[in-house]
Amino acid sequence: MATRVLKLASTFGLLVTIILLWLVYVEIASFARIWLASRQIEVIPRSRLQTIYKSQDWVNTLADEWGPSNQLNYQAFVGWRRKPFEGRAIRIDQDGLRRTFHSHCDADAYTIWMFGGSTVWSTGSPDWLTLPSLLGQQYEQAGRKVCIRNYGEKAWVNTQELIKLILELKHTEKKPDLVIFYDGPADVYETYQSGRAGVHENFDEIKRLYEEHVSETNGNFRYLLKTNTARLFMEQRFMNLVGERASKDADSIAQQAVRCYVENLKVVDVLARAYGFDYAVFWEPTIDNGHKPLTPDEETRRQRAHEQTPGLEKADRTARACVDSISPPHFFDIADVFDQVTDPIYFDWGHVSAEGNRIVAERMYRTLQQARP
Amino acid sequence: MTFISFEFLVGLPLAVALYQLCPVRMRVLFLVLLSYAFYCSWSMKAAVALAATTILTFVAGKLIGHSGSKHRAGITSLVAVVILSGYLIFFKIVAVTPIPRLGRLIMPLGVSYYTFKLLSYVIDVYWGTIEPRPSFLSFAASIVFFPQIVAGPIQRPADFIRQLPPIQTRLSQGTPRLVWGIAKKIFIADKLAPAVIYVFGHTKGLHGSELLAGFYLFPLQLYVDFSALTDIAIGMGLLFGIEGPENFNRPFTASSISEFWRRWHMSLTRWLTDYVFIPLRMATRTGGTAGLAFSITVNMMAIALWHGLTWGCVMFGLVNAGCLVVDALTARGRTRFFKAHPRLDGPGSWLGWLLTFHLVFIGLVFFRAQTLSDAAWLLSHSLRGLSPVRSGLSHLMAAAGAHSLTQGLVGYVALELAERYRPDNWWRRVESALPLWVQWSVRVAMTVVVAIGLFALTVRSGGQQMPFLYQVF
Repeated sequence: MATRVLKLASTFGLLVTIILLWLVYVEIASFARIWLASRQIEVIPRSRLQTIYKSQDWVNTLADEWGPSNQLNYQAFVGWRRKPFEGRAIRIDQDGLRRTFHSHCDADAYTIWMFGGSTVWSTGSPDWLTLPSLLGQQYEQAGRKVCIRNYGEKAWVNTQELIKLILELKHTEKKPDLVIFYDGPADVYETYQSGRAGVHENFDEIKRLYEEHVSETNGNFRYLLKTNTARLFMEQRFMNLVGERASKDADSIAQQAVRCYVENLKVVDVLARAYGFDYAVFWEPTIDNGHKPLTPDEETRRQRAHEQTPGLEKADRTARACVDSISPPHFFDIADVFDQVTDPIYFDWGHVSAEGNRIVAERMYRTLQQARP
Repeated sequence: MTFISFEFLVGLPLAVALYQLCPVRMRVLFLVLLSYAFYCSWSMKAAVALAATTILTFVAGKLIGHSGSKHRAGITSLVAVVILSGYLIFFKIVAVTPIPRLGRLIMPLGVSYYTFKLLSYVIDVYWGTIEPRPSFLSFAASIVFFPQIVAGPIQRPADFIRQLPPIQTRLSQGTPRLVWGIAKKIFIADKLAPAVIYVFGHTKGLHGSELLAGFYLFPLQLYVDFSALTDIAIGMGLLFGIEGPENFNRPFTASSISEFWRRWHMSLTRWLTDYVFIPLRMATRTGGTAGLAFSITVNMMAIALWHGLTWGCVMFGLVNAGCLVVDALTARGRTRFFKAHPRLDGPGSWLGWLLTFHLVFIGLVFFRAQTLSDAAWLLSHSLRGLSPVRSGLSHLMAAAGAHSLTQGLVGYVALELAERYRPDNWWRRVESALPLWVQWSVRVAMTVVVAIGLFALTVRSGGQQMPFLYQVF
């Protein structure tokens, strides 16, 4: 009897040891996986930059500066903004605004504030080839000096841009003459990601981080959620949920996103009257929502985007059709801007090369001149 | 959950450790539970269908074995064969033609593989080559065994059950094979895949060198991808003490089409040879050449249609059947000719290899192309407009990623060399002649390398990996 009990106890002990060792193994593997993922922070890999920009001597500088400049500060009401950074291809000031070339901010200069996500910030381009810089160049070439402020920030959606506009209007002495919004698809993506419109990107992740932090004061086992294993597991579960939801509800995602977007524009309209500025809203192109003849490489990227975000393509197209049919005041759909361009433009689903920025800037300038010469 | 997902690879060591701890008499039950847990991660409904067909076949086997009369056994086996074949054909039809009232039906994972296992059991019991199994659990384990359920190899239940209960696991053989398979998939097959996807996704927009590159790359990708899956299946089987049959034997070195089919997907071709070709050949032996041609054609079409009821598969079958018939009918003449002209034997082998290589690749174009007209376009335009090779290939390189394609091709060459010279076999031969400390040092070093390799592959698994090409059947 005693031998049997002893054997049973030793088997049980062995079982517990195996499971504990396995848990340690899983935690180490999860750590390594997260660590590897965090090293691949480049939105646009160096090799892609080299392919697109070929012999430009600043490509490596841009690629080197991307990682260090991609550090974020928490900012009230809007969530995040980049930290100040002093580089050669990327420079970010104390307010978190990227340097804009061809911008002449004299006291009486015509002032343009540009809002948007990473496409306005111009991921993948040096400071002198960002969308705001190239728009400034358009004005300059027409013999008009303007002051342009680049309020673009990565992963920002229209509601964040609107809040930032309110905050800036409150605090800045020199009010804008013209406010430009260049966005749309990011709002669809955000709704796709979180399942609800009007929140910022990565809402669930940030919500969880905040709530975990708050609950730390109570005694519980929530610290287990901070293990690498739990993080990885939840991330996987989240991706599966997003994929499932999106493939079912692409239409509803598009409608929610557009409703929120159009309501924001009503607020912008009220602000424009109150503060006496003009505004223009541009719906930006993506690899899915224009009719650009895609290069083989762009086509491969499009297919990869479809695999990674199933259902987003449909939501993106539906949202564009929906907002076009509403056609709010001061709204311009320029998603067709690359329809005649055969050269490579897209780095990925939405980010474009400096040449893409130049084409968009030209179109923007032309549209603005036609709307308010 | 796939074999190269993080969740699977990270869970596998626990499953193996618990299996080691499990008493030998409980191991079959453990395997059945583990395999069903894996299968349920794909689909619960499919797991119920798998269990139902397993029970049906087991009961049919009992009835056939204990029926007392040959006639009754024949009827029972016929009914079982018709039901199982109908079950497989139904899902093959649904895969190409959705049936409106039934909604969207997904083909159960590995249905083509496990149905063939079930069919072979029924036929073997009827033929009397095996006795009906007394243990349902052993039988169920042979059908659902998770390393083989995704894409084979098709191991006959009798061969599997012979190894039960698995007393000894073979970690030292299984783990390197598993790591080798995963590495092949990630570092070779998936690197060749983007170029193949590009060519077969834009066939009609391409000409010359790009099409030709797709023509040559797809068979290489298919072979590496499928043989990687087989390596993983065999490796994992050994981790649980089960030795599975080999599926490949350097198929692209075959110097005739019949030799190719003896080296390619061997578990399937052996199955069809035993259960289709030989009975058919026996029945048509009085028909002479026509009977032989008929048997070969039916057998080859069965292989082709096993992959899917599509026109592409039909053409794949017809091309191969035609080649096999010509091969069989000219075999004697060729042998006589080369006996009479021994100096031509060497060049003849080379020519045979070159011809086989291209005939197989032509058949595979139909297998892979999205439509028959795409296949026809690829074959008819591959040699047209070849002159701007550099610009054509630079397009392909841009689409597929030059680095990825180069890595895939270099990997493939390394793989062929490794399979040709088998450094593992060489080591086994020389090992015993070396001092003990050298033997142990190498063993320890190899264990460390394999363990680190498995860990590294686990960490970077999933995400961007392409699904296995053969897990859809």
